[in-house]
This record gives sequence, structure tokens and C-alpha cells, in this order.
Amino acid sequence: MKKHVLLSMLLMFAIVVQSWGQLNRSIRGQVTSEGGDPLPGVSVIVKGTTVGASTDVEGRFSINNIPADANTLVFRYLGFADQEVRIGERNIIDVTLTASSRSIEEVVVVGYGTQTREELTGSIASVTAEALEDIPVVSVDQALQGRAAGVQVTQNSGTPGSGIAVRVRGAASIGAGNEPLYVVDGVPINTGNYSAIGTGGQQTNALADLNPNDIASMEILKDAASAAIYGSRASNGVVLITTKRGANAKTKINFGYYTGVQETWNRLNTLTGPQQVELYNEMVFNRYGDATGLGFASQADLTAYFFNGFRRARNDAGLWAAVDRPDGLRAVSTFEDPSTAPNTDWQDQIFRTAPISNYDLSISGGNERTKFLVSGTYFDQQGIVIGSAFERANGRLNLDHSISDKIRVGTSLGISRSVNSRIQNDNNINGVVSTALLVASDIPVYREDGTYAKDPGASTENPVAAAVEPTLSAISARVIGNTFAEWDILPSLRFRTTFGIDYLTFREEDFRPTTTNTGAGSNGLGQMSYRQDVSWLNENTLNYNKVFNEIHDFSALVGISYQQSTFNSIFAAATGFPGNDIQQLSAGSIKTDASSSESAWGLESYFSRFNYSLMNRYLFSASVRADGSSRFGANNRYGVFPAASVGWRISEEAFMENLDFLSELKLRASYGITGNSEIGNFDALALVGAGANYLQQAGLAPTQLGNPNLTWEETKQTNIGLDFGVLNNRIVLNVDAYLKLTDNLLLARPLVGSSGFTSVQENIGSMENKGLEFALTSYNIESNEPNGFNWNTNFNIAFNRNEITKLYGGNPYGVGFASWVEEGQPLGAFRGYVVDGIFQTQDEITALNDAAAASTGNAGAVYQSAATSPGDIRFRDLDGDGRITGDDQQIIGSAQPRYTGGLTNNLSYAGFDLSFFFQFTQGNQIYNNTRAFSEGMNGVFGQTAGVLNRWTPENTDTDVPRAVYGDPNNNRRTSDRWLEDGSYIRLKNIVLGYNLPTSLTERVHLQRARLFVQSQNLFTITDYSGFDPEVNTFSGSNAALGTDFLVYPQARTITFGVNIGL
Amino acid sequence: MIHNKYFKIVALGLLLSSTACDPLDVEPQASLPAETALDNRTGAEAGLIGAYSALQSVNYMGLRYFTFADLTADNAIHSGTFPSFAQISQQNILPDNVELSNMWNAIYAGINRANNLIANVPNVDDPAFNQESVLGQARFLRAYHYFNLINYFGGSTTGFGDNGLGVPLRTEPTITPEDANPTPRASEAEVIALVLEDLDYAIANLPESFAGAAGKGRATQAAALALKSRVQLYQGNYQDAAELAQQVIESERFTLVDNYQDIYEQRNTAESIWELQFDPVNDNSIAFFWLPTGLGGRNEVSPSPDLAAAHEEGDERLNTNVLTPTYTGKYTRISDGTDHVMLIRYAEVLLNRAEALARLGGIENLLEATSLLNEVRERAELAPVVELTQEALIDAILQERRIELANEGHRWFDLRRTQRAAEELEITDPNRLLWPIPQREVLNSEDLVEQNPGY
Repeated sequence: MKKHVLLSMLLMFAIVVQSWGQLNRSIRGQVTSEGGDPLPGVSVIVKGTTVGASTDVEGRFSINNIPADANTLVFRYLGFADQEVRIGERNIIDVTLTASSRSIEEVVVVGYGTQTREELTGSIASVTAEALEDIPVVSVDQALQGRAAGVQVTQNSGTPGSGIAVRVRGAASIGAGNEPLYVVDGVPINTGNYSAIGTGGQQTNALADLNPNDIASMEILKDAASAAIYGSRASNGVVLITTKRGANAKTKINFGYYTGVQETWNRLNTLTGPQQVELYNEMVFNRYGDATGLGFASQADLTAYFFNGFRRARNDAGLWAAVDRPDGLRAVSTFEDPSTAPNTDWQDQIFRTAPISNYDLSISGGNERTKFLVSGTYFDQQGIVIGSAFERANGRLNLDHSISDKIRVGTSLGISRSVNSRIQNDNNINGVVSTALLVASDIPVYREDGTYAKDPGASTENPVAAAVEPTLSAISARVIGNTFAEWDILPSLRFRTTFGIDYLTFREEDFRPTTTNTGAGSNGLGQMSYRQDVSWLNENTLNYNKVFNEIHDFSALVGISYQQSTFNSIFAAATGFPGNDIQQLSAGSIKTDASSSESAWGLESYFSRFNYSLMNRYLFSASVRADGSSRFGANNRYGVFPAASVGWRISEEAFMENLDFLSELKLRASYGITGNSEIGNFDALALVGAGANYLQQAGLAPTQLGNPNLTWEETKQTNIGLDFGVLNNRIVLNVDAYLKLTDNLLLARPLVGSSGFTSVQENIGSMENKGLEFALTSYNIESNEPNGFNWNTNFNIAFNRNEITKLYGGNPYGVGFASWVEEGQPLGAFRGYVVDGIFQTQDEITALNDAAAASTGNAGAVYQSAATSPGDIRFRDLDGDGRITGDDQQIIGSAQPRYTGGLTNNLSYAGFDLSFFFQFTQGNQIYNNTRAFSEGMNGVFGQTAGVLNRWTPENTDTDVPRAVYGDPNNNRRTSDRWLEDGSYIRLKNIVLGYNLPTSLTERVHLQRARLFVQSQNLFTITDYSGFDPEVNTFSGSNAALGTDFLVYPQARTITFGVNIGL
Repeated sequence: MIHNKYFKIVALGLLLSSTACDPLDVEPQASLPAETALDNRTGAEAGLIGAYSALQSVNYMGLRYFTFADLTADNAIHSGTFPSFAQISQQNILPDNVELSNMWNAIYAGINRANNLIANVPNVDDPAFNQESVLGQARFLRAYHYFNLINYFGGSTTGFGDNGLGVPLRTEPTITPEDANPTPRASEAEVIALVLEDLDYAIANLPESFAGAAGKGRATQAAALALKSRVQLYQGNYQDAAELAQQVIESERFTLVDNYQDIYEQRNTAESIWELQFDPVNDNSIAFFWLPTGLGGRNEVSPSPDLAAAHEEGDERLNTNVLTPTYTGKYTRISDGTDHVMLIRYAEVLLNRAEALARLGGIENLLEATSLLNEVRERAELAPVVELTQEALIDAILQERRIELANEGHRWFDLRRTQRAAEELEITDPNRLLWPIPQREVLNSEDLVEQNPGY
């Protein structure tokens, strides 16, 4: 029964079909719902003809002129299962339709309107509220994961409220955005990261402001035909989010609550303190040999000297002896007897079992003229890493009111406030997870005096101090609202005007007390940032719908849209605080920063769409949007984005009538052009910027080269699809094949640095995505009994092949740690050296060095490094020049998966329901930079157990090199050594629920009561050795993908909950 | 006529929304259009400040340029985590080392700022505008940038002034994307010729001093003379080097301060000729990189044990150069990041002249060189040296230079120009004496900018 509000709009377009064949008999009857309510607007058609009628307000129909050879009537009504009834000899046929949730009969939200799925000619995936129910997701993009074919969602980390990568049909951009456009109840919203304070990796996510509980449905517009109506912002797909609304029904009160725990599902196996100290001894010995040669009293003194902060003094014998630190960390004695070293499990110190809970209350209802929905939600999540948390409160008011039969007004208004308690993370020596892995286990948590123990040989923060001591909170307060008025000027002509806003404020407070490394030197460091992004939108559309001659169903749309978004920021910082208690900047004695900025963009658009359906069999659609964007160069300000599509419902043809098992067969094809304008607001202009100050005087300096020709990226997408339904659509298969060709890629063309600039924004590259998508929905078992056994399955799988087809001058370049952007390679390719085994003897090395000297004519030339020794890695000389140089790197892998998908099963019986959802990614690789540190054996960092198999003269059959201080052979350079298979399949969600029997609920005056238990990430099958295969430290990056570096891992969550309907 | 009423409301709303705001009418609020920014007095004066500001980059004189000159030599060790620093410390620098391109780009950004001024200043017609001074400072800065580039990326395996390799030579500002097209490397001689020409203009046009507490932060005539003296010393033009240094000495504007530590503690002392200024708002992270964690630093680099050992017994400077446990007393202002960088100071000028005279030889020159050397030694409370042979005197001056200018960005260049790097640092491959041209530059110029041999 869902979406009746939306359906009501469509009812008036119901087909009124009269006969056009030979005059004959007539039939009449009434159509009702299971509850006995008459259904108006049901389409009743004589199968295999265009003869038919639609029901009136009392659900009655009457068809005259029925051809003599007719034998079946087809009843169709949105939201209900189609029903075919044999006519036989009857003249009166009464029918009861049953509500259906089958996807093919669904109403689908499209850009500026709705359509039924059977009318669709484009490629649109829908995710309904059911898929979001009961699941503890922070943000709506998370909820898309695995649910729709061709929509790849990667949760870059487990950081609460952090950024998530969503790619619709692959990445279409390198230099501009790759995230889809999100439209909430008609308002294209601002998304992305608003944080001004770097934490080393994970960004914040403005989509986390939305409340997943508010959502009625999400539609992902994948092909150009569906997305082109959004013009210059549609290349990455469009996600239309529709929130729940009230209905003409008795007031319903729903209360939902869940609570549970989260914990790590995987830990890394690190060395113990004693193992670590043994390693230190070996590293230093392998580098410097006998300590006496360096004038040290003993080997332990030499190692201690290197790891306690270079403290030494001459002893009586005139030899160097390491001097113990006053705090006793890394005393010489522990190097003499490693077994006496402390042993700290840092992961135990920073990970915790953390609570998560959600409270949700909604009240909805209405009458014929006014419908409403009011809801409030409170979400509270502690992170599995101490010091991290996310909480959010949301409120919503959605109203619809009919002023008269012809005029309606309404509003959708969502407000939210979220508090994200952040921690430093990832690529950051002050990060929590980072230091928990980098600080070795021979350092205790606290010194004897109770202060934090800090690694004397490195500048890493104490992991517990990193988590607990700093304050870093991000508070987002936001209003997203849209108000509309509609006027039916004529029965077939509707005018609609909307005014929408997205008002976002984002405040950050950061304070590093003197107990932290970053605050110690400056007597406390405080930073405050306030950012505001205010977007307004006005749209005006005219919609025309008319059926001519019963078989020609026309609809047309024209519209104008204006949108402008203005961004303001203020940033201030101070140091020199009177202690750690007053954290406001007013207390800081030295103001180190004070700045503000403003930026804006505007969009002026004209759009139109035309749909034509002939006999509900032949479907045509065309749309065009003209966008003017303030972001583009004076020479290229306006762009036109057309699209067209056709559909052929073969199953409606007379010649298919005898194929009874076949309920739907539709062929779709579309082509269109979309754009991508997600670049900086002023990238087209040549600018001289302020802030190049000196001597406390204001300075100016050139900051950007201009490009008046700058324009949007352009994607030409072809889509061919097939919808196939059998057994009255119990099994529906959707297949789509697409080819996305993106040109004019907005790239920072690298310039020679000698120009004084490093790049200029130009439209240079090209990219190609092609793929296949399969989505299968099957109602395996359907029971007619109210509490019978039901089982349905959704399966989707998508194959996308991404290739960069053109870069400026064909020049490849590196990003991130190992990621590489090169023509002919997919975005997210990895490049590095290739390991060619381990040197076992000095003779091997000498022979290669001699060859290098001979081939270069330089006696001093060496194969790899002058310090290469047995046990070091031999890298492959790919270019055959006898030496290892930068040219000996090649593409070693890719972060792009071969395929991704999801499998959902929903079962219900006797009040119980079970839903389990697997999500999988296959064939991608991960560059595990964490291991480059945790198995690098080059310095002071804590190591993982892999290094226990390191090369020694006794342990030569291994692929782990020797331990040597400083790693002079650079064994840990970027190479395939750190590349791992990132494939995984995980039970993303499993929910078991029980609906209390009505007999029980009625006794306590409840409409509905449901208890459930849920688990997220219950298990994951993967060969990946890191915390989690779903990872990217470069949150928000287009090209640096699939890279793990000390990333906050995802949690396994178990929750219990209840839903109550009053 | 209910329809009419609503129609009017709707029409009014439409009218308001479409006329009140033109969504495309958006202009930057934090920047100026490049065409007109520098063509007037305030713009050009701000542009000059911006040109100085280029020096403050963390990839240039804000940390890395001078730090690396000691790190890649023997005055500093790598005690931190950056693999890019490790390569530099081990003189095993790969062309894709990000420090190379960052530094190269930062220096050329400075050159472009100077070139913008040099092109615009002659057009600024304003009686209140001191064209010569601004142009002199801009050309001084350009000379300094090019000289700094040669020191790492140019010259030859035998030092400087020996038919060496240069860097791309740009003397015009980059205004349009076309201006940014690659330029091949000029020869060392061509680059040095421009450096000398710019410095001669600066010497002729720069004022003797600038008013105000931060007057040391700007290039004066003495700074230009001292810099030219350094250039000529590197080039092996000892007569010139000695004479230019003498002009600075004879100006009598500078003296050695009594206490070595005061140079860094007090800043802008009588010894300072040109000093890169920082303040709490416009700060640096030098101390953060140099100080140990216990003092709030990240301990990325530390003075080397070798440097400590190189001090003579009783050398006062040890208490500044190597503190216990192993950190420098030169960069300590971690709380507000206001350590200054000693770009040119008087002690160097004395040692420039001493070395130039010693190399020219002759008894008088050797005597004067000895006395200049002893002037520096005396301040360090070291006994004067006497009656050394020419060779021993040069050794002593270079040894003095190492200690006196430790971790101020001289050591690698001194070792290079004196052809001592290979021996002192045990570098077997002479190609390592020139740093590789950043791979990025070679790639983006499609090999028009040629890589140094051996990389």
C-alpha cells in the first residue's frame, strides 16, 4: 500500500480506453481491495487489445464493444498485483486485487516526477525503506551498499560518521567529483567533507546529517536517460531520496528502538615486547656490526643508543655507554636481556566494546485534505576506538494540504544536529590506530610517575594519550527543506513551484593539551573552525499529461531551476594556554591564526522532458537540460545535455499472448549526455591570492593560472536493458549493459615546476566505463495465508571495466602511496617495484654490481644500493639496464574489482522474519602500506608477527628480508610485496525479527509490535591480512584507491530492537 | 476567482526569485584578478612581500632547503619517519623523491613571483613608489633562488664553475598556460651569469638598510655583496669573493656578537646580514622537525654524533650545536614557531674572505686569512691558530665553517665545491653529488629537461 500519496498524482492519468475494434458484447463490474475498499482508477483491459476502461470512484467499470474473440481481462493498478481473469460467459466480473510489493509494479521516483517501473525506459535502481529498517547505519550512502547493481559503495573505514565512496557505474572522473548527486525531496544537497581540521586520513561526511529512518525510498538514476534531466551534475549518477509522508488514514504512531554493541572483528598479531627488543638488537647489529667497532662498550649499549633517543656518555674505559633515560624507558638492561622488556598490547588499550543505540518516533496520518508526518530520531554511537563517537538528533515535518481540488501546497522539512567526536587517525603520528600499531609493544602505557610513556626513539604519540587527551569535535547543524505549491490549471496541465534550502553549519573545536606531543611544545594548541554552506533553490515546472485516442499517452514537462550556494568559513587558532582546562581560544596567549573566506557557485537551468507511450507497448522518452554554471569559463558557461530512450514491451504484443508464463518482457535502449561540474568554484580564473605575508605585512602572490575555456566533463552513455518477468512476475530479471564514455575530463594538467605553477585546470582526459548489471528478484515461496511461509531473494551483480583512455600528453602520474594514473589502466591502478627474491649470498650481489659497473661504465655503480647484503630483497631490473632505478617500476595491480554485488534473502513464517544480506567484491587489490611500516624492520616502529619469519643466515627459505636498521637497501619501497588480494564476501547484515501476534498486541492496544536482533559484519571471508578489506585511507580521493594505512577498522555490530505501532 | 488569486501569488513568487538573485553572478571574495593585481603601487608592494614570503615555504628556507644541506652531509642525522628524508640522509635519492619536486617547485614559485615584479614594477608610475628598491629586492631574490637551485641540482661532479649543468632559466613571469610550457636547462654558466647580473643591479640599487625592527628581513646592499661573495667563492673566483666580502667588512655595519647562542636566542643581532623572519602568525615548523619528542618535536632530524665529535675541546658552540640528548640549540621555538633562519650572517662573510685569501695564497693573504679565522675562533673561545701552511689553513677554515655554520644549510655545498664530499661522506658514485632533477619535471617536460647523469 505504500506510496499512495505519490500514486494519487498518477491516478488522474489512468488510461480511459474505448473500443476501436468491432462492436460486440459488454462487461461491467467492480474492483475492490482485500479490505473491501473500492479501488478507483484501476485499468481494465481486454488482453491482447487496446480495448478497456478504468474504474470510477466506486471502483466500477464498464467495457463495451468487447471483441468476439476476447477471453481474458487484465486488471492493473499501481501497487497491486496484476490480475488476469477469464471472461467466459460472464457479463459481470467483480475482482479483488491484492497489494503487491513486487518491484515491477512499483512506482519509481524519477527526476521531477514518478513513473511505474513498467513504463521505465532508463535504468533506475530502487532501494526501499525495508532495506534500511533495523540496520544500524550512520548515513544513507552506507545503506546503498550491495543493494543495487552497479552501485559500488565502499566504506573507507570504520570511523563513525566518516566519508564513504559511492560509485555509480564506475568512476567517471579523475579531477572532479565522483560521488553521485544527492537530491532530497527535490533539493540537490551539498555533500562531502566540511572539516577544516586534518586528522590524517578519514574525512567527515555531510550525508551523515540525513536520517536513514526518514527515508521512504532511494532511487539511483544510473543511465543517461534517467539522469540527464540533472544535466551538468548527472555524470556520476543521481540518488533521489524521498522521505516518508503522511497518508489519508488513521493516525499511526510508530516507535522504534535498538541498542547493541560493536567490537573489532579482527586484530593484527603484533610482536611482544621481548620479540621487539630482540629485533632491535638484530637490526642494529646487521647495520653496524660489532659495537666495539663504533667505540661502544657493548652491543646492548649501541642498540639502546639508537632506540632511547641517542643518549650516551663515555665510560671509564673511554667507550661509549648508553645513558638510561630518567623515565627508565628502553633501559640498557632490556637490550641485554630482552625477556625483561615490558609487553603492552596496544590494540587492547585502544579498542573497546562500544554501545550503539537509536530511538525513533514517528506520527503520521491525515485526512482527505491534509496529510502529515512528524518524526524524531536520536542516534548514539560510541566508536570501537576509544575517544571516537557520533551522535545525531533528527526531526522531520512533512505536510501536504489541498487548498482546493486543484491547488495543493506542502513541505518537507528535515532538521538535524550531529556531534562527531573525532580522533586523529590514519597517516598521522598522532593518530590513535596509527600509533597503536606504530608504537612498539616494549613501551608501557604509562611511566612510573603516571604520565604517558612516549617512545623515546620516535615522535609517535602515546596511543592512549592520542585517543583520550585531545578534544576534536565536529558539530553539524542542518536544515534541508522544500516547500511546494501545485496548481492544476487544466485537468491535464499542472504547474508546480518549489522553494528549497539546504542550510548547513559545521563547527569544529580542536584542543591539544600539554599532555600531547602536539600541545606540549606550545602550552596547549586550540583551533576553531566554523563553516556555513547555504544553498537555495527555486524550481518551476509545467507538467502536461493527456491520453489521445485512448492509445497515445503523452506527457511533457518543462521547467526552470535556479540554485546558488554560498560557502563561508572562519578559522582561528591559538597557543599558550593557562593549563588544559580552559580550551576556548580567548585563553590562548598567542593567536596563531585568524582567517575567513567566502566562495559560491550558481546554476541556472532550463529543462524539458517528453514521454510518449503507444498502447502501453511502445515507449519513447526524450529529455534535455541546459545548465549555466558560474564555475565555468566565460567562453563555455552554458551546456546542453540531451537524452532519449525507447522501450518495447514485447510481452504486450498479441503474438506473445499464448506465452502465459511470461508476464513481462521489455527491451530498453537509451542514449544521452550528462555532465560533471564538481570542481572548484573559481578554477577558470587567473588569480592572485592574499596571504603570502611576511614581516607582518600583507603580501600577494599568483595562485592560479586562468583558463577561460574551462567547461564541464561530458559523459556519453549508451544503455541497453532487458526486463524479464515470469510466473506473474514472481521472478524478475533485469539486465543492463552500458558504455560510458567520458571526455573533457577536468584535470589539473601538470606543468613543469619551473613555470612557478604546478598545474592548470583543463579539460583534457578521457575515460571509459563499460559494464554489465544483473538484478534478480524472486518470490521463491509465497503463501496465501497471513502467517504462512514466504521467501524471496534479491541478487545483484555488476561487472564494470574502467579505463583511462586519455591523459594530458599521455603522461602518467602517481598519487597516494602506490596509486598510478596512466592511459590504458583503470583508475586506481598500482605501480611499484617487483620483488625478485632475496639475495642469499654476497656473490650474487657482487656479480650484479660488477655488471652494473660494466654496463654504465661507472666503477662506482651498483645494482641496487652500496649497502645491499645477503637477506635483502632483490628487485627486478625491469628495463634491463643493470641497475634498479625509478624506471624499474610497473603496474602491479588495481583497486578496481572485477565484480561487486549483493544477495538478500527475506524469509517469514508465523510472525518470524529473517533477512540476511551478503555483500561481495571480487578481484580488487589492496596496497597495504600498514605492512610497509609494520613489517619494514627499518626503525623503531612496532612490528607485526610476519617479521618473525625474517631472513637470517639460519632462516633463508623465506620471503621476508633481513632486519636492518635504516633499511639501506630500501626493502620496504613501494613494491608488489605490499599488494594483497582485497576480495571479500561478508554477511553485511542479518536480522531476525518476531511480530507479536495480533491477539497479544491488541490486548495492550498496540497495532503492531516487533522484536528483532540484528548483526552487521557478522563474518567476512577474505585473504586480506589487514584489519578489513573494505578500506581506503585516502577518503574522498578519486585516484588513490584501495590503500590501507593504519585505518580505523570496521566494527562487528550486534543489536537488539523493538518496533511498536500504536 | 480563486485561481486568479493564487496565480498572482505564484507569479509574484516567481518574479521575486528570478529577479532578486542572478545565480551565475558569483565572484571570488578572497583573491584578485591576476591581470590587474600587481600593476599599481599597493599591489607591487604587496607583491614584493609575497616574493619574500616564498622563502618561508616549508619546502624551501622554512625548513627543508637548509636542513637537507646538513642532513645529506655529516652535520645532521635522520631520526624520524619520512622515507624521503631517509633517502636524503643516505645520499641515495631517487628521482621521484617528493622532496625534490616540492623544493624545486617552491623555489620556482619564488622565481615567478620575482619575475612578476620585475615585469610589473617599471610600469608603476607613482611618486611614492621606490622603483629601484623594489626592483633591486626582486632581482636579489631571483639571484638567490637560481643560486640555490644550482647548489643542489646543477654544477658538476667536480663542484661549481667547471662547465657544469644548469637549470631551466626563466626571466619572464608566467601569466597564461602557454607561458608555462617547458624550458630546457641552461648551462651553469648561463644561470650564474644571470645571478651575477641580478646581484650587480641589487648592489647598485639596494639601500644600505631598512628601517624598523625587522629590517634584517629584507635584502640590503650588504646582503647582495655577501651573497655575491658566496657565489664567487663557490665558483672559484676567489679574488672577487675576497673583495666582495671586504666591502661588507669595510661597511662596518656588522660585528660578531659575543655569545654564539645569542644569534639564535636574540635574533636580528649585529651579526645578522639577512635573516628570514617569522612571527607567531606566520610561523614555521623548524623546531618541530628538529626537536625531540620530549620537547614537543617530531624528532625528524637531529644533530649528528659526528658533528658533536668534530668540535674542538672547549668550543663554546657545542652548547648550541649539540645539546643533550642530541638536539640543536638553533631551532627551539616550538611553541610559536618563530625561529629565524640565518640566511647570511657576518661570520660567513669573514670565513668567505678568509678562505678566498687562503686559496689565493701569498704570505699577506695567508696572514689576513688566519686573522679572520681567528676572529671567528675567538668568539667560540678557541685558541687562535698560527703559522699554518696554505693547505692546512684551508682545512682549518673549512673545519671552522662546518662548526660555525652547522645546520644552517652550508655543509653539503661546501663539501661539493671543495670536492671533499666523496671522501668525507664515503660516496662511491660521483653522480650522487648532483641531486636528481625531480622526475616530475623530466616527465612533464617530455624529457626536454634532461635528467642529471646516473639517475
